[in-house]
Amino acid sequence: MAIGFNSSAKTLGIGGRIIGSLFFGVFFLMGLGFEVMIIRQTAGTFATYNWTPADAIILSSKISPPRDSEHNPVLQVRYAYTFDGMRQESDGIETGSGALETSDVYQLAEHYAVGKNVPCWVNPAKPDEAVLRRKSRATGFIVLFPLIFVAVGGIGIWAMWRRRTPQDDDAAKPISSRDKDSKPGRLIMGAFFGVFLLAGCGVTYVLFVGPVLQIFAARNWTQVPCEIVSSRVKTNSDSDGNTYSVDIVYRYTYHDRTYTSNQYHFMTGSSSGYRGKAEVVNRLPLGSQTTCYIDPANPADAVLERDANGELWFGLIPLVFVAVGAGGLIFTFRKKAGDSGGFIVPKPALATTGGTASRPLASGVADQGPQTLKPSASPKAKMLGVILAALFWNGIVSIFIFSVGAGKWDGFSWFMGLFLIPFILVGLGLIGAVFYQLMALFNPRPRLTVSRGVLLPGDTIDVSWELQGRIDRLQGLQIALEGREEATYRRGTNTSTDKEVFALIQIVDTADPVAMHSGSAKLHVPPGAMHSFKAANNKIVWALKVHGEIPRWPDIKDEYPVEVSPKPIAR
Amino acid sequence: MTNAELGLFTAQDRTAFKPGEVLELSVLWALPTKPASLEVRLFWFTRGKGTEDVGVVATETIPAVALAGEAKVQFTLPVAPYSFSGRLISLVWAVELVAEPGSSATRFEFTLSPTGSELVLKT
Repeated sequence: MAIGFNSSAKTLGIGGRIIGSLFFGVFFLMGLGFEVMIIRQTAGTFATYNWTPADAIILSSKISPPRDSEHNPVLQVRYAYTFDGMRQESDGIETGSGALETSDVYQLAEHYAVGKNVPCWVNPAKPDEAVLRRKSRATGFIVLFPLIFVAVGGIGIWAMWRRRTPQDDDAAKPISSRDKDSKPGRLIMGAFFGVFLLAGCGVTYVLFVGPVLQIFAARNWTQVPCEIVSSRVKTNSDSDGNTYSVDIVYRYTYHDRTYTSNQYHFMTGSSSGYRGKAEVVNRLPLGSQTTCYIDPANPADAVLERDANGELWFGLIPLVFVAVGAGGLIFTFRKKAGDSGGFIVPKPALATTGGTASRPLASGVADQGPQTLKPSASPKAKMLGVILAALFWNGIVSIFIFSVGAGKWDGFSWFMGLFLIPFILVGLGLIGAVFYQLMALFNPRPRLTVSRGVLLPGDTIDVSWELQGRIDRLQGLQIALEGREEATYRRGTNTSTDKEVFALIQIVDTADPVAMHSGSAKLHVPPGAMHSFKAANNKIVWALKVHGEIPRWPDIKDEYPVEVSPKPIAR
Repeated sequence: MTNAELGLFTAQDRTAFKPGEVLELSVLWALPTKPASLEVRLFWFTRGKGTEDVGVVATETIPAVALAGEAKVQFTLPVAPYSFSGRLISLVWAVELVAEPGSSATRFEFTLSPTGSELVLKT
C-alpha cells in the first residue's frame, strides 16, 4: 500500500539569484547594445534604397597605407554630382563604419579611378550626403544575431526570478517522470549533439575540405604574370594574443582585363608563427613580379600559392567536434525500439565465429552452439588508443611548451613552466604506456571458446582455451568469471565510474606449460546469479578474465565479456 | 481539501512478485482539482552511487477522471531486470500513480525476482 502527498520544491537563494542575474545581465546588455548598433546601421543601409540616383565623376582616388599591421589600407575617394541643379561633392563610399578588406580596397580603387563616371545615390534630405555603393538588403538578417544573446540573457534572468513550482525540481518529480530516455529527452540530446556535428562539419569544410577541393581544382588553373601592389604580415590581436596572416595584394591581366586579388593560398584564417609569414612577404615585396594561378572560368579568382602547406592540417582540429557530435548522436539513438525501459536486455548472442545453427534449449532460450569470444579490446586497439591519447595530450601540451619556450623568460614564463610540469609528466607517462602496449603486442594471444552462447544462472558450460605465440615465457595462467557492478556518476564537471566485483569464479589456475597452451574446464554459473544489465549509468557486467604472468614483460590481461541472461519464464 | 490524496494497493499487501506474474492494483484518488490525466506507471529505477537510471516499462491511463474515485489496473510483469542490491547499485521496481498537472504522485515499491526476494550481490 502507498499513500502520497505533494512535496515542495527547492529554490535558489537570493545570493545565487543575484549572481545569476548579473551573469545573464551581461549577456542581455551586450546583446541589446549590439542589437541597437546593428539596427541603426541596417536602418542606414535600407535608407539608401530611398535615396535618389545620380551620375558622379571621380575627382580624386587614393589608397592610404594601413596605420599599423592590424589595420587595412583605406580607400579615399572624392566625387562630384549634380542634385536639383546644384553641384555637390562627397567622399562617402558606402554606409556603415566597417573597414573594407584589403582586396576590396584595391579593386574599388581601380573601379573608382580619377575621371571615371560612376553612379551614386544622394540623400534627398541632405544633398551633400551620397554613397557610391549600397549594401545588400540581405545584410539586414544580421540583426537577428544579437537577439540570441538578448534571449539567453532575458530567459536566464527570468528563470532566476520566476516563481518555481514543484514540477521544476527533478527531485520532487515522480521518479517515473525522470526517465531520461524518454522521446523528448532524446530529442533534446539529439539536438545538442546535432549542433556539435553540424558546427564541426561546417568548420571542417571551411578550414579543410574547401581548401583541399580548391587545391585540386587549381592544378588546372592558368598561370599568368602578376605584380605585387601591397605586401605585409597582418596582425590580428585578441585576448589570447597575436596571430598573423600573409596579406599580399597582386594585380594581373587576363584577356585584356585587369584584376586584383589578395588570395595568397587557399587556407583561411590567421595563425601563430610570424617568421614563416615574414619570409613570404620578404620574398614577394611591393612592386615585384611573380606568377599567379587563375581560374579560367572565373578570372577574378586567383591564388599565388596553389599547393597545400602545414597549416592545412590545423583544419582537421574541428573533427573533434564532429566526433563528439556523431558519437553523441549514436549514443543517444543507438538503442533499438525493442529495448523497452531504457536498459539492454541480455541477448543469447555472444561474438561468434562459428556457423552452428541455433537450436532451442530445454529452457526455451535459443542456443547458438559453441562460441568463440572476442576480447573487449584487442591488443592493436589498445595500442591505437594509447597512441591517440599520447598524441592528443602531448600535442596540446607541446603548444604550451613551445609558447613558453619561445618567449622571453620572465616571471610569468617561469610560473607557466612550473605549472606545466605535471602535464608534461602525464605526457611522458602516456609515451611510456605506448611502449608498454607495444611490448604487449608480442604477448601470446588467448582464444576462448564456450560450449554454449547463452549463460543462464545455474548452468554448467565448458570453457576451452588455446594460447598462440611464445607461451614458453608464461609462468602462470589464470582464467576466471567475474561479475561486477559499474556505477557512473558525476561530481562537478567530472564523470567517474566505480567498479565493485561481486562474483569471482576461478576456472583455471595453472603453471603447467601443457595446460597453459590449451585445455578446457567446467564453468558453473551460480543459480542465484544476477543477469547482465546495462543502463545509461549503471551496469552489471560479466566477463571471463585471462591473466598470464610473464616475468619482466607486460602480463596478459585480457577480458572477454559474456552475457548472463535472466531465466526464461516457465509456461 | 488542499492536498492530493492518492493510493495504490495490492491484494494482501503483496510486495514480492516473480517475472511473468500479473500485478493487480487498486487505485484510489481524491484531488482538490480535476486532473488533466491520471496515469499508473510500471517502472524500475536505480539507487546508489551511480546517477539514477529510470525505465518506464508500461503505462495505464485512467480515463474520465473525477475529483475522487477508484479503479483497478493490472500489469504483466516482464522477465527482467531483477530487483537486486549491491555495494554500488540497487535496482528497485515500483508502480507510481501520477496526477497531472502538478505531478502529485504516490509510489508502491515491490520486488521482482525468480526467488521472490531481491538478489544480494556480494563477493
